[in-house]
This record gives sequence, structure tokens and C-alpha cells, in this order.
Amino acid sequence: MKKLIFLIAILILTIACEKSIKPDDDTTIKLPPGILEFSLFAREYEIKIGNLTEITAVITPPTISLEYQWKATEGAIMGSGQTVYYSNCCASKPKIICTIIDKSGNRASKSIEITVVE
Amino acid sequence: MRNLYSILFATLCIFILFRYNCKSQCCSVGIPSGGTTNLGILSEKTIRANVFYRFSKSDDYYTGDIKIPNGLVKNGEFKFLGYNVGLGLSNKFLLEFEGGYFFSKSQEYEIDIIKAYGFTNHLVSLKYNIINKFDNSIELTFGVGFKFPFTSEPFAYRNVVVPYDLQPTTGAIGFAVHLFSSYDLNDDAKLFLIHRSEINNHNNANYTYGEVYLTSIFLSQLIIENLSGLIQLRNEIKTKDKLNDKLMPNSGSILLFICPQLNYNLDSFNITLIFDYPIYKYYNGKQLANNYSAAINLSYILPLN
Repeated sequence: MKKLIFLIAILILTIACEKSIKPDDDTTIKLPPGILEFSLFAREYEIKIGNLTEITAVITPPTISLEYQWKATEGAIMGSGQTVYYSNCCASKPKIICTIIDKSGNRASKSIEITVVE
Repeated sequence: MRNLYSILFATLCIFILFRYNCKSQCCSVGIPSGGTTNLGILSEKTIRANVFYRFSKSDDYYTGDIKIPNGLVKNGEFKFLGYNVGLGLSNKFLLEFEGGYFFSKSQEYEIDIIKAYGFTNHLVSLKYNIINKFDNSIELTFGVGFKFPFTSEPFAYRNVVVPYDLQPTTGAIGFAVHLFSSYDLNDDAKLFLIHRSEINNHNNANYTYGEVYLTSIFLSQLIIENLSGLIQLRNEIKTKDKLNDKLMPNSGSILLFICPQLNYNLDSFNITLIFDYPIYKYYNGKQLANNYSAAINLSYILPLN
């Protein structure tokens, strides 16, 4: 029984010690090889609560095959791929972050800010 | 009896202390409540296993305690399998392991459905029995627990990180405090008071889910042999979440549920049907509110000797 408690305590301590804060993904300047330009565009930068705005990752040259990862500091991103839709229930100024990853695993991130108003 | 009053008084103090800084979100990040009274002390070398399945639905928006129209999310649901295994280390100490898996957590928007699934946080607790006397007519058990996630990475659906309230786990460690008490009113009726507080640390995104304070009063009455009816009144208080130490205005809540239950007991085996209906909802800011949830709980006690 004591061994069981000891093992659980070690497991808990191991998990606890792994925790650390990493900063949010943010803009990285170095682009994956072959990509000349990477930027984000929103159809509307200010939206009303509950409305949608379309956000597109624009890549030059556009023919390169990439994986697109998205996240928002608040609210919901709908859809997936190069173009997504963003909305939020509440007034806020969220940051939308897109990370592109090429076949070799090289990655770059860009972010834009959307204003959600009443 | 004086002990019972002390417990009620302590719980009221906890309510008052945290009454003014609370809020929550729709989809219950963390370990949903099993709704069972099978949480007290066990005799030495006895194992108790609780397994429950819970379904929850949300489709109304609230601001304060007022229902408002035009919500962004048309429908929110989750399906959750929870488990709780307790081991009686002695007649005074109980070791408990608790966790669960979200089969699905979803939010339906006008143009898309966002889904998540996976393990929730797990909790290891050590409980100590303070009072257990008068032929077990009264019990008071106190416990502390350590919460940990199976992953600290946020869940992404189709390469898109889902909203905070849809994540299956907080992605952070945390701590819990338990208080369990029961009192036999007579041969057929029993009163339970169960409290749990949970405190979360920040996760890798520097997001801190709010503290959770759950307090339940159960009254159980034998209906016929082996079949009991229970009525549970449960208060759930969630304080506001924080992102980079900034309070999130649309998080945190105070909810009061009434939960009728039916429990069938056969030797060491219990099956309980539970329906949770919120009779009072107060949400900070504007949030998707819980409409109802239902659960089935199976409990088994196995002496190791």
C-alpha cells in the first residue's frame, strides 16, 4: 500500500514539474523556404457581436502546399484551411493567429486583431 | 447534531465569501459532477468504483439572470463518461482517483459545427474521516486532491484550436478540497451535504479557468425495498477565467440545480438515474447557458478480503 501511494506521489510530482508557461504564438518573421510573402487579411476588421468576418491567409506564391493552423485569443473560428470565419458572442479585441507549416515542418505565424463591438 | 449545524454554517460561509466574484461558461471545462452520494469513507481494504455517463444540453444565452435572444451558438452539447475509484487505506483514510473522457463536446454555429473530445483533468484525492460514530448515523469526511491534465496542449479540430469553453481539459494542474457529511434522519431517510472546491493553475496559453465551488444537499428516502428516491439541491459557483492575468468578462456563473434521482441497490451494486435542471442561473457578461443534463451512475463496492 505504501509503495502504491509513493508511486502516485512520484507521478503527480512528475506531471506538476513539467508545467511551464509558454508565450502565445505570435508573428514570426522568418518564412519557410520558397514562400516570399505571408499575410492575413480580414474582410472586416470591426464586426458586431454575432456577425462573421472572413479571414484569409495570403501566400506568395499561392501554389505552395501548406498546412494552416488557426487559433483565437477569444471567440470561435469556423471552417478550416486557408480561409476561415471568425465571430464572438461578446465585445472584445481578440487576436487571430495563423500558423503555416510546410512539408518539411518549417513554420511561420502571423496575427491580426479584430474588434468585436456591441 | 451540533456537528451537522457546523457543517451547514461552514458551507454558508463559503457561499458568502465567494458570492461576489463569480462567473462561468457554457460547457463545463473540467470534471462534470457525477451527482452521486457514494463518496464517503470506506472500510479498510475495500474498493468502490463509480462510473457515470452524462449528457448535457445548452442553447440559451443569458446575461445576469436574464435570458437574451440571438446567441452566436445555436446548440451546445456534451457526452461524458466519468469514473471515480476509491480505495480504503484504513477505516480513516481513503484514496480516490477520479477522471473521465468527453466522447464529444460540440457547439453548433450558423455555418459550422465545432467539436472536441478527449480526456478531462484527473484528480487524485486523499480523504480523512473525522467523525463516524453512533452506529454510522453521522459521518464527516474531509479530503484534499491534486488535479492534473493528460495533456497541456489545447485541443484543435481540423487544425483550428477550439474555444476555451469547448476544451476537454483545462490543460493545467489544480487542487481540490472535499467535504462529505451524512446524517441518518431515521431508518429510511438520510441527509447528505457534499462540498467540493477546485482551484486551477494557468495553462500553457496563460489561460486560467475560474475556481469552482460545488455544494450539494441530498435527501434520500427509501421508497420500497432496495429502491430509494433522492432529491439533490446543488449550487455551482464558478469565478471568472483569466487570460494573461486579465479577467474575462464573459465567464463565471452562479447556478442552482434541482436534481431528482432514483437509486436501486442490490447487495454491493447501485444504479442511479439523475436528471439535473437549473432553477436559477446567473451568468457574468453574456454566455451560453446550460438547459438541462441527465446522467446514469453505476456504483460497486468490493471488499478485498
